[in-house]
Order: sequence, then C-alpha cells, then structure tokens
Amino acid sequence: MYYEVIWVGRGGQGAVTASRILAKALNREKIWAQAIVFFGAERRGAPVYAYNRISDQPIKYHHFVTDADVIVIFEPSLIKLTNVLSRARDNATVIINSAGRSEDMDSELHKYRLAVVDATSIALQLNLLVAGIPVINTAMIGAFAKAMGFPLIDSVKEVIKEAWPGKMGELNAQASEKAYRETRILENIKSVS
Amino acid sequence: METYDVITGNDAVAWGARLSRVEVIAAYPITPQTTIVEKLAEWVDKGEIDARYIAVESEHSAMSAAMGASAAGARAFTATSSQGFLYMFEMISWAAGARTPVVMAVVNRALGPPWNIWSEHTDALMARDTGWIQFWASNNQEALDSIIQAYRVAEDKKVILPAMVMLGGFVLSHTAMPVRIHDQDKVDQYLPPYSPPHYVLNPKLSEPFAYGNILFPWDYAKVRLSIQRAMENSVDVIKKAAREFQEIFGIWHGDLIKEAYTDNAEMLIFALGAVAEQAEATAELLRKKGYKVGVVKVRVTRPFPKHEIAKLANKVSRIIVIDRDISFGWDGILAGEIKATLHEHNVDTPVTTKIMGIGGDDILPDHIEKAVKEVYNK
Repeated sequence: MYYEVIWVGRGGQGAVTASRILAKALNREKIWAQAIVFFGAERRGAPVYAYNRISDQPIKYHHFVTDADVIVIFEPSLIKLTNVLSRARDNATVIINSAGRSEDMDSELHKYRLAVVDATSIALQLNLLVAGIPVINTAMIGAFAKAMGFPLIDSVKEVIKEAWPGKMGELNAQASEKAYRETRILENIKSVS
Repeated sequence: METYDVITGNDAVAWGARLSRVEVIAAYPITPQTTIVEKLAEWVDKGEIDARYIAVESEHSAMSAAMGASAAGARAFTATSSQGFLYMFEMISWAAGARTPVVMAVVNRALGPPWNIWSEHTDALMARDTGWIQFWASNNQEALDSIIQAYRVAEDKKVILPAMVMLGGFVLSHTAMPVRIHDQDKVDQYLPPYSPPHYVLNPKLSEPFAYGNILFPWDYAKVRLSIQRAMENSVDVIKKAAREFQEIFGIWHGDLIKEAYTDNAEMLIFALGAVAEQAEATAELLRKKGYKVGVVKVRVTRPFPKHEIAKLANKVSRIIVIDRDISFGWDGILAGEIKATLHEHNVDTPVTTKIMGIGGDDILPDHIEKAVKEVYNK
C-alpha cells in the first residue's frame, strides 16, 4: 500500500488541517501517514497545498509530493488556476467539491476516477461557518474516506471530535459523515466514452 | 501511559522537553521554531507541566535566562532558529564556557538575506566551535527521543556541557508523522532528576562561588582544556545513552552515527538529519538497481565521530557528502569535516561534496540518484 495525496484549497479553507486529520484517522487504523504542508506567504483566498504520504510501512521520504494518486480539490476554479491535474498519476482518483452535475464538469476531470461531493451545501445546511466562510475541509475528509475506502468514517469522526471538543466537533463530524454518504463515485469515465 | 499519535516535529520536541521534566523554559518566538514554545507555554499555563516559563524580549536573553536557571540547579530548555540563533550567539558560547547543561532545540532555517524561512543547516553548524554537543534528528521520533538523550548526556558528571538538538525547518518541524510518546515512568527511569555537582543556589554550599570571572592566561587555558576533555568524555557517554535508550524503549536512532545499507557498500553517502533519512530511502531504491550504496547518518557533529567515520570510509572506494549548508570560500561544512577526518586517519578515499537543498530547495530522490550515478563510475 502506497499513496501520495495532494490537497488543494484556498487560504482559510483548511486544507492543511484536513491532511493532518486524515493522517491521525489513518494512524488509528495502524496505517502510517505523513501530513506535509508548504508554508509560503499565506493569505486568505490564495491557493494552498497540503500533502499526505500513506503506507503500511514507515516512510523515510521527506520531500514534497510531486505527483499524486489522489487529488482533493476544494473548488472547481482551482483546477485551471493551479493546473493541479498535471500532477495526477495514471489511474488517479480526483475528489472534488462541486454543486454541479458531474457530467457537466470540466472534461479534463473525466480522465480520472472521479468523486464528487457538494461540500459547500453540506456546510451551509449545518450552519458550519467560520468568519462567514463555509467550513468544507471536514466534509472533504468524509469524501476521501468514501472514495478511497479508508480510513473508516468512524475514525475520521473520532479524530474530528478530539480536535474540536464540543459543538464545533459535533457539527464537523456530522459534515464528514454526510459527505461520506453523499459522495458520488464515477468509475472509469474515459473507458465509457 | 504510552501513546502513539501523528504529530509535527515541533510537537515532538515539546513532548521531549515535557517528558524530560524541564523546570525552566525561556524562549523568544521565531519561525519555524515558534510552535515548540507555544506548546510548552500552553502546558505551563494549564498546569500540565511543573515548569516556569520565562517570556523574554530576545534570544540573547532567552539563553541568558536558561543559563542562569541551569547555574541555579534547574533543568533548563530553550529553542530557536536562524536569525534568532545568531542573535543568541554570544550566550551560546557563554553557556558552554560556564558549563551549564542547557538543552536547546534548533529548528534549522536559512540565514538572511535574502529573507528565507525554509530549511538549511548552516545556522547550527556555525556553532560547532562553541563547546556545545550537537545532535541531528532525522525524523520526528528521533527529535523527541534526542531531547531526552541530550539531557542524559549533557548532565552526565563526565560531561556537563550544553547540548543542541537540530531538526529541519518545515521538513520535520511542521510535517506530521506517527510518533510514540513514551510512558513518563520509563523516561524517569532513563533520565533521573538533574543533580548538579555545583550550583549557585545550593544552601549547603559552605563557600559561595561566582561564575564567569576574568581568568589570566595561565588559568584560562586550563579551563578551556577541560571543555575539550569533557567533549572527549562525551563520546562514550553518548554511546551508552543510545544503548540504554534502546534497552528501555526499543528504539535505535544510532549513537554518534547510524549506518544503513553499509554492508558490502562500494560507495557511502554522508548526510545530516532528515537529509540522511531521505538518502537512506533513495539508497534502498539504488540497491535494487544494482548500486552498492550505503548511507551514514552523522547523528552527532560535536564531538565529531572521527574514528567511526574513518573506519567506514576506509572500506569503500567513493564517498559523497550531501551538505544542506555551505562555508563560503571553503566547502560544504560536513564535507570539510569529513575530509579532515580522513586525512588524519590516512584514509585516501575520494570525497565528492554535493551541496543541495539550500534555502529549503526540495531535495528529491532524483537529485540524490543523479549525484550517486555521477560519482559511482568515475
């Protein structure tokens, strides 16, 4: 088992935290994971990257993830802005937050195994807002768990509740579970078309 | 109770200090060190650790306070990086001369200008002539464990010198990975409370004494020679500390060095910290491709493991030293040390310096592989 993951979000959306929560959830299942972040001149709204390496063995690599098996995109506008899909390996899974019908989305996306979740709507339904911005990172972890089959959604929820005790943790755990249930997977679109 | 969590290198260092039952923490924030002392401050504030946190106005004062606390008989801790390390430098030298076994974490960061917050080893290597013992952590577990080992070595009666533990900025400091957080009782068994041979506030002391007075040339040299002797003594103390750590915790990070794939190696790569572990992962790939490459992680740069390095170097036909640092007008700093060591031991294996990763430039396996291939068939 060896996966490399790229998270791409905008400053303030919590991509870094998502990668760390994922690593902690995997650790509960005895899966070894690194969570890496590139710190630059952060500002709200600018593209932010975080990474994971996931394995059944301890990992000795210490560089940033260059190409990935899984790419998690916090909103469709980041595809063109960051050109992140150029870093997708063959057979990569792309997990995307989008309200649109998957069939209508960027044709570039259909080269990959695709997981679509409307994380923004989930956050709004739960009134999960920080400084007026919908909190979507915990929902995206739920989508990851559904798309990849690991970690268990219960592990994700436990780690979230530990990270934010009280109501905030409760709501974020609900968001991850709702996303887990609502994520739609489109397998091998390329071979169909 | 022993736990296992995914934490950053900086949190691992904070845990190392906490489990070592540090009594005084004096620090000034600087990226990428800040989250170490933030975590410790939080624990002090919540009463989770029984330590005094001294918020100071500069790194110079941080080391002064840590040194004062140590002289008064307390176990003292601080942490810094880069510019802060340079601002502290006068007191870094003083802490060694005063024989105060402070332990400091140095989160390696490039020096400005140009302004840069990312990883480079030049900062800590500039202090190699000060009388501090220097450990380099290659992953987060080693960062935690090296803080504990550093106190064991620094406070040993045969040593009584300060020790610094290095970890790569961001590469380890802000990267989260699984770390075993040891049982406190086991750490207590490994690291007894600090009992200094002399300390300023000892009420039983019949005659008061002063630190750091002027000494005339005929006496000064004797005191400085005692630092050299303490460094020489520390070699065996470090080896014993690593061995006993393995016995109690079952973890081996190496003592002064750690070898990987050195059996039947025709070429060795020498490196520090996370760069050495990166080289180890690359060597595993290269071995599969038929390259007989081994890696020597130089875990301690003071005292310098001269005998260990010369012995290994003598068995191979090529050596690469990866330096994430530079001594302008000379060489990579580690490469320079290794070349001098080989000369002293009459080892004539050619050494190639590869300076990589300056200012946080990512060191990819491809870069190391390319360097190995360049030198391997020369």
